[in-house]
Amino acid sequence: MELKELSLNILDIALNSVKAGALLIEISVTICTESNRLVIEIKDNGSGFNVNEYEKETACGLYRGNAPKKSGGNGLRIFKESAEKTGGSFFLNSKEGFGTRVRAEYILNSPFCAPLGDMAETFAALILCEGEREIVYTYNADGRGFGISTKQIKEIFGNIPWKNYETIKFIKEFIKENTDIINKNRFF
Amino acid sequence: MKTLADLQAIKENLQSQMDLRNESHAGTRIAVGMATCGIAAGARPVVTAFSDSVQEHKLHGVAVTLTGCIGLCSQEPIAEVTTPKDGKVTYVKMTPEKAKRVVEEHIIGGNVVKEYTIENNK
Repeated sequence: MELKELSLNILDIALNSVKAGALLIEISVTICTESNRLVIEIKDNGSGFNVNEYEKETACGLYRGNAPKKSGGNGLRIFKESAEKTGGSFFLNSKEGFGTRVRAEYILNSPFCAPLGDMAETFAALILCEGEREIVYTYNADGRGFGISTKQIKEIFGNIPWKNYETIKFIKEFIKENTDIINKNRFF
Repeated sequence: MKTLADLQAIKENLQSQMDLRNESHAGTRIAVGMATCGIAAGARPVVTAFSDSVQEHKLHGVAVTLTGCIGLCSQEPIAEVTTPKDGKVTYVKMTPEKAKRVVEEHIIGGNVVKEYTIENNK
């Protein structure tokens, strides 16, 4: 299995962070055309897990079925493969009780590199998860970038419920417009 | 370029409309399966379509949320719609267009969209 957009891998992995009870999820996408790299990093302060055990469990390939498994399903493995098939690399670090950090490095001009896709939709879907947590997204391409944090939005709204149609629509447009300005007709 | 400061205007506008909301749909819940299988099958646009449609119709008290894998990967994207009237209804092979129809006919109209339910798609 593979996902059509890297932004779908990001959503999948960030939902693991939500499940792990993270109160802070930091997502960054960094593109450097000179070094031909696209780097995705997802960091959380959730429950973390034992990486050695996870690697043992997933060593035999695709996990099928629905029985609850200690370290979840196929998401991480699919994410890892999406980077490695471009000739890139994958790094996973997790500590029980502290959190998890996942970093995937893609070779940008590889024919196997999926497009980043719609990060605005990914961010909006994460906002819809129940419960309160801070989600941070930063995007940078060749040294120019922008960021957005749900904490900033919450501070503006104060006691008014901020997860409403107008706000989510605004956030999506904010991410789309700022990404377009930075990309300047380039497509990643 | 948009800045987050522009949200201030949205907030003030919302504040002034707080009392003009439609009838309450308290206890109504839409849960979209968002495990890897659901995401691969196209659950992300389905959840945003549900959320947009609920907000467009100004339905107060409807919770749109994400849930995990419910073990029917071949039927994804799946949405479980729970209302006080009909209990839990499971819709399968959802699309953004179907999501809109479920909001309008099931949640607003009170009629389950039978052709999308799991019972009719086995």
